[in-house]
Amino acid sequence: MLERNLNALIGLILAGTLLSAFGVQFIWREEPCPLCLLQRLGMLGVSAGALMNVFFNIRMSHYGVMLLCSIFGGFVALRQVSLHVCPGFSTFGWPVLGLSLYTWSFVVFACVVASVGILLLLYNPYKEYEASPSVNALGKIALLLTLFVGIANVFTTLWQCGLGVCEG
Amino acid sequence: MMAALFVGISLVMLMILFNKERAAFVFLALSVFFSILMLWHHATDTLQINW
Repeated sequence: MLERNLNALIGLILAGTLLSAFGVQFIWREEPCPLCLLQRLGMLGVSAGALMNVFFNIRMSHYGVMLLCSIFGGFVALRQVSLHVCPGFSTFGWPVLGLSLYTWSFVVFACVVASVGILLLLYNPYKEYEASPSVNALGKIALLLTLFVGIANVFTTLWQCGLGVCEG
Repeated sequence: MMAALFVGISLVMLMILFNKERAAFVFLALSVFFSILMLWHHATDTLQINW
């Protein structure tokens, strides 16, 4: 139960992070760049892996999904850092606590990798997990919030980029 | 196209909600694959970067 609650917590934290990205987008009026949108996709992918652990039970393949999506998102974040890291090049957007949002994004993906490492320490391959586990309120809230963020991103991306690949 | 990636990942969440694990994996694999293609497009085409 502890492992599934921790996975639900990861989903909840990532949904909160994505909601704060909406805050930056609509309150600070800062439109996300294509690489920012790909980082959001990476975070949603990580959430999907964590929520699979909550809803379908703890499996190595779900942790694999989380790691692969973290690598993808972390790579996109590092790519964006590399575009702005040299002195003389301006950063994209306003910094938060001294770091740009894409740098924070890399920190988030690094934290996910570390969290998966800790969760794998808790994983016991010889333990009999339930076939169809009952999901508590934390898991349900995490899934519904992540679903809401995903669908909201469909509309905001359509509004910003139309049906194109979002040049910019 | 970018919005379609979010449609894909939202479908993954819906499949989790409706307990369809295999379908969730299929949509997730498709979303990640096309996300990588999108990253490739932006890295080579839009931003004019030579790897």
